[in-house]
Amino acid sequence: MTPAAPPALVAGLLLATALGLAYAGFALLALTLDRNWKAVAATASGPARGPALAPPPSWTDVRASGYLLLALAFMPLLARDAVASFAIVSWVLWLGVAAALVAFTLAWRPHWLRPLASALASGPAEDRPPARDGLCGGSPPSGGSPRRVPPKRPPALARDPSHVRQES
Amino acid sequence: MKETFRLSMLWLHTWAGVVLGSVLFAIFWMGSLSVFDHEIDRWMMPETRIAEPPVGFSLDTFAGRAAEIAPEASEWSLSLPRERVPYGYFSARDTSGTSTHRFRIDVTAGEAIPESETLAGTGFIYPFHYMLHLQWMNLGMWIVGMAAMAMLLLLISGVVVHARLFKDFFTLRPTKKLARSTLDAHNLSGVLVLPFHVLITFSGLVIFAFVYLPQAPDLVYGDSEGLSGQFRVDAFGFGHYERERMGVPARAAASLDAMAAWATSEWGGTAPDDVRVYHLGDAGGYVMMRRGDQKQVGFDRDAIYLDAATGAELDRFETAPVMRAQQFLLGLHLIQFDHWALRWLYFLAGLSGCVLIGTGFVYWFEKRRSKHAEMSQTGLRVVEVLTIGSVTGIMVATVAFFVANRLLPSGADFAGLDRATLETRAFWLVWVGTFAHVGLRRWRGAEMRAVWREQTWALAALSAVAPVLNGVTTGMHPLRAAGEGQWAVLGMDALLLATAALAVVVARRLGREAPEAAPAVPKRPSALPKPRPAARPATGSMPLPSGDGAPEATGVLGGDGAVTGDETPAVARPPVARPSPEDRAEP
Repeated sequence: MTPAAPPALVAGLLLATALGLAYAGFALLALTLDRNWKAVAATASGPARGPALAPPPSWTDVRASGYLLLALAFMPLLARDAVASFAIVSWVLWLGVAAALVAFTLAWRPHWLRPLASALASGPAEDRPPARDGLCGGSPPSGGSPRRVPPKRPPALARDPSHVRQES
Repeated sequence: MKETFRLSMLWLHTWAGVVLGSVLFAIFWMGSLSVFDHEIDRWMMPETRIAEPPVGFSLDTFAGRAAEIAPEASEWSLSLPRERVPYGYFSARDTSGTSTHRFRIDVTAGEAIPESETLAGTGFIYPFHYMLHLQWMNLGMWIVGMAAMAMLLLLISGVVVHARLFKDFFTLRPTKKLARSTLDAHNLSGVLVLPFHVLITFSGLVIFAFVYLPQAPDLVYGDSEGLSGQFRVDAFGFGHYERERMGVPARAAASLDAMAAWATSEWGGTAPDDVRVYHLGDAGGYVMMRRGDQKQVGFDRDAIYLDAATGAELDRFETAPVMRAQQFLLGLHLIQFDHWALRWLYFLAGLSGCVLIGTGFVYWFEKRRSKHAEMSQTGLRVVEVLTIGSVTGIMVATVAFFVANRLLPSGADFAGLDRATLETRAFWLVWVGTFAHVGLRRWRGAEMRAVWREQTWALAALSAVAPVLNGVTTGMHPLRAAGEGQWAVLGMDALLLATAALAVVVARRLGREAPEAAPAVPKRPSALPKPRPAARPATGSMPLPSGDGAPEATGVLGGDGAVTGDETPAVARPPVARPSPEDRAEP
């Protein structure tokens, strides 16, 4: 049975909801990454430059919420299309759009994510080590250790310019 | 040889990209345009801008008209209009087996639409996408197949090389150096759209699996007929049911509309989109209706055969599970379904593939440039010509094709070439011209940026002219198109204008920014890489030179060791940024 399509306005709203959920999900995931957090936390909020924000003590919940929002974005699409195959393909492609929008926001308008960061922040920034980053939680050997601990590396390798070059 | 797996993948990624990037860009560009092939048809074929057929369109009325159009016909077939195609396709065959040409028909008026003097989107742009218009021995399809395999390799090796995949998932630094921001854009367009790129490339290969592996059906069926044998019947349902003429005139004719309504209810509300009537006027007459597939992703081969006299079901064909999977992949790639949001997403994702390939090229040049290219100057020139010609060149040629379509008068004939051929010749000429332009300008000492900029201006000018020409020559200016619901024409005009605007922005930026690389290398005082202030663990980071410091001058990407056959692996080369006379410093 081919189900009836919802009216155009409802369909549009459902699309917007899906995109909004996916954007919010990716925004949360982006903030769990050290580079993005610093970029957003350092932005001014409003006319007055706000204090730099300290990251939350743990990223676990943030990351989980992010993934949950991405999953939830599928629901409005399914409601809109009623055909699962359309909804799945749409979902994959809309996720790409939302992720690109988050990347563009971070590149050109990072302060837009400032309110979200303030909500997550544990307070103004101090000299304490930020939580570790990594979308998948599994950043390579340095994983689990705070950023500022210098990497353990054999001296020979450290002197090898080819390896220094790999840093960014 | 190569020190690590990742470096060998980097080598593969670089050279597969440089060698096949041009072909891949053409495939992605034409593929992205093919998403809107029918809309391009409306724009390029003004005679097909007819109103959509009303909902209550009657097959029985049409059958009456068909008898007038093709009085001798013993069978006819009609592909029904659909959301994006306001006309049907009609063909007929008489008892001696002579077929008419399959032509476009206005189903409500029952009149043939005048033959279009253009190949337009479905006849030129779409076939370009999968066969590059190289018909000889299917050469084009094989090249496209190879390019698709290379694309899969590029995607896999790209993921391997890009070890900061998650950390840099959202990273785009447009204000950094060109090499850095281009690499960011390359990574972003590759990673965020990765599922699409993988699926579209893989499903593209599946479509022509029988071209690439024609032996497969022979092996199973043990006959040499291959695709034309029993396999064709079992897999696609072609000729699944047939019966001979009885030689007795038919006594009655059941309503085609009633048959279509019944088939629709049998298929859970999906109407047929293809109707064929066999043995007209004979007692053995029968009708085939094929299930429409506009409301689902996958294609459908299901068909119902009905007795023409009674409307009773004679037989039906149902797609087998494996074929259904195959047809799903086909549908996923060929997007013949009605879903505007998805159609635009495919278009954007396809263009992101173009960005992926284009930024890959630009990054490669930036790396080349900053490391005293040890590649031969001739080789570098060849890549330059290929790159600009295949990136902006094909865009300019495509829009020139549109412009030629609006400029050539009806019935144009030049040197024995008809109008449709002249249009495609315009495309090829302009495309070859863009390659020649790059070669000439570089030979005369122009900078790469200047050449890019000139072609971008050409694109802007042509894209701005095309909608004007459309309005002047067909009278269907945007306001009228909106009023008459000709959304395809309106959309095409809008996209052309958007292209023009974007091209102007890009061209102006290319003109404004001073070339970075030329003075950069000699100016760098430090020959040794200085660790950046907040040094991060090197493990797990990308082996690409990514910072903005001197080290990137000898980045591993580009692996000149591999080009020149140098024994020294690229990584072991000391990063000495020595100014050199052979440096490609621009004036």
